[in-house]
Amino acid sequence: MTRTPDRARRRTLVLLGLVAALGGTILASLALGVRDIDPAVVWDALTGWATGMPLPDDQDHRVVVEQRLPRTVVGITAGAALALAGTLVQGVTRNPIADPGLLGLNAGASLAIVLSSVVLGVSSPLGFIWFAFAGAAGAALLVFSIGAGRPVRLALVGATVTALLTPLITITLIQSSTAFNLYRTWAVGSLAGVRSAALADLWPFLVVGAVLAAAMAHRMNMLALGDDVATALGQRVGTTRVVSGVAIVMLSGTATALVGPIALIGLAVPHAARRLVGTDYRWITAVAFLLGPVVLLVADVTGRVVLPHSELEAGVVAAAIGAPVLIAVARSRSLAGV
Amino acid sequence: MARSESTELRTTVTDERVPAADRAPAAGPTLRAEGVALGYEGRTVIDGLDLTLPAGRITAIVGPNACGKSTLLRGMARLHPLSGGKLLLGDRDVSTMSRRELARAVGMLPQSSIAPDGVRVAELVARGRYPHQGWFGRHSSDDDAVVASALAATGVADLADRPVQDLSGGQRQRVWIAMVLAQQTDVVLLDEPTTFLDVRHQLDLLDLLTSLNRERGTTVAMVLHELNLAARYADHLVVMNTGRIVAEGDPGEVLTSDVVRGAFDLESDVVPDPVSGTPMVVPRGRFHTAR
Repeated sequence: MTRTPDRARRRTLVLLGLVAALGGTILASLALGVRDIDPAVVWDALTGWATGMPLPDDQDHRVVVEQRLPRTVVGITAGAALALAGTLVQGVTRNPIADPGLLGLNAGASLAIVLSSVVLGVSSPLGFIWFAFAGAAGAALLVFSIGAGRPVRLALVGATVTALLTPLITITLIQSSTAFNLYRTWAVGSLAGVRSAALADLWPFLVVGAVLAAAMAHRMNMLALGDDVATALGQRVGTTRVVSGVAIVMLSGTATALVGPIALIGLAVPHAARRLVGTDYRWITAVAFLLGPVVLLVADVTGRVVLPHSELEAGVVAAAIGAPVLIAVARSRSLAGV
Repeated sequence: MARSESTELRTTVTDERVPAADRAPAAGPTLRAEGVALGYEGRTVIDGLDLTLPAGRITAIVGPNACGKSTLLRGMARLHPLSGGKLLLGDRDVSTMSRRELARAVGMLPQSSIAPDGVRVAELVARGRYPHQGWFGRHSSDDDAVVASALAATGVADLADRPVQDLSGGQRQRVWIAMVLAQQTDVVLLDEPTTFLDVRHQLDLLDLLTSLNRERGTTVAMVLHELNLAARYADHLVVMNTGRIVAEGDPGEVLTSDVVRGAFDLESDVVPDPVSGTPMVVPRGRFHTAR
């Protein structure tokens, strides 16, 4: 009665379906692109790589192991991180249109990249990723420290910080073409390139962030009833906000640094998750964790195959996928509750 | 859950009033405020107030707008920090208890509760189990039984699978009370629980709280606006004005024309309520006074 078997079964089916979908998209991400590769060859290449065999002098194997595998890993981790961070931001602010960008993260990362290029002469994506992370974290810390506690205040301060930083970014970009060239490779939101090397350094942030997000999931359920009710139920609301803030910065700071400001994953995936499994944040979190990578990988693979001999960046495709989802949510009978 | 069981418990709720001698003994210790001070950012609302909520009784707090009655109740639930004085639960200083520990002893239904869109009745009520659960909120069969009994006691078992936002105001308020019941506390505080309800649902809700009090010995304290219902339903009536208690005790002795004038700056006749015999305040305005 408190949980009808139907709903429990539906949730389990959703999770199983997502695991299957993730498997399918991973395979597609390894096999599809400018050069389509037979799944059997993909399998050979993967098992060969996993068992530590030297890479054969085969173009297909090289593409799978050296390009698509790192790219897929970046897609999985960034997709999961953005979706988890979006779920937490919406839960902690009780704001259905919140995403990590609302907390000034994207503006902070952008400014840091631009300044690192102009001031320090950083010229490679690998070089600026740490700056991007520091910028995102710095902006979020600023927003959290000023807006502490009050959801509405957080959103206002986040918007203010973004509004303050954006002209600085624009001015610098207009003045410096090298900064602009560096910035655009990041800002367009792409999984291509050498980002997996940076992931090798940044992964601990993602792991800690994901663990914290899981630990906060049930607390979000109480917080959704209002600060007073959550407090009356024995939750230390301030602690929840601080820990969630740390997790948001770690997850979306890292993901944004890696793949650029792909806003719609953090915004749309939690809403889609709510529609699939209801209002329990423990399930929403689990679904977002799987659905985020699926959406980002689908966006990336679509971008690879939609244009002949060229690529459309994942950020662009993700926006094209995410927007209809959000419109569908907005047009449905009631905005799925936060 | 078995429908028969829910109807059975439902009838006990709407049953005739139980004679005072048939009350359950007080379930838990008294909650007491000693010299408490409460305020907002430098503005003191309450300074040095003492209040004891008698264990196993219903206390109603009344007073004009902005007299500090909600602030007092919030302070007693530790939703609002004390700037002075202390709270005692039995002989324990509440400040030595963790939030979670307090939430297992004192439940509070604030005015500012939010039902997230799409949340179902049983799901919302189950969240009342939070202070009894581990960090990931794993559900035990014990939890299921408590939630089922809370749903039945408040007469919303049949609505268990409905989204809360589809319910009427009266049903929704019952669901929130069920959530507080699922918390299984000996003390339940409610901040203006009848505010958005029509008169019939106000009575329903107060009847419900009365039967919980009588059957379980739960200590109930609530802020109410409606003086006559407060006088009828409270064992202990507290009248406040500008952060102080101007009168408290048995409603029959407390609620007089003088007290109403002192607290509300209002002329009134106080006559016996023809239904309950408790005092009934008939206010006098500038017009329509035949006598």
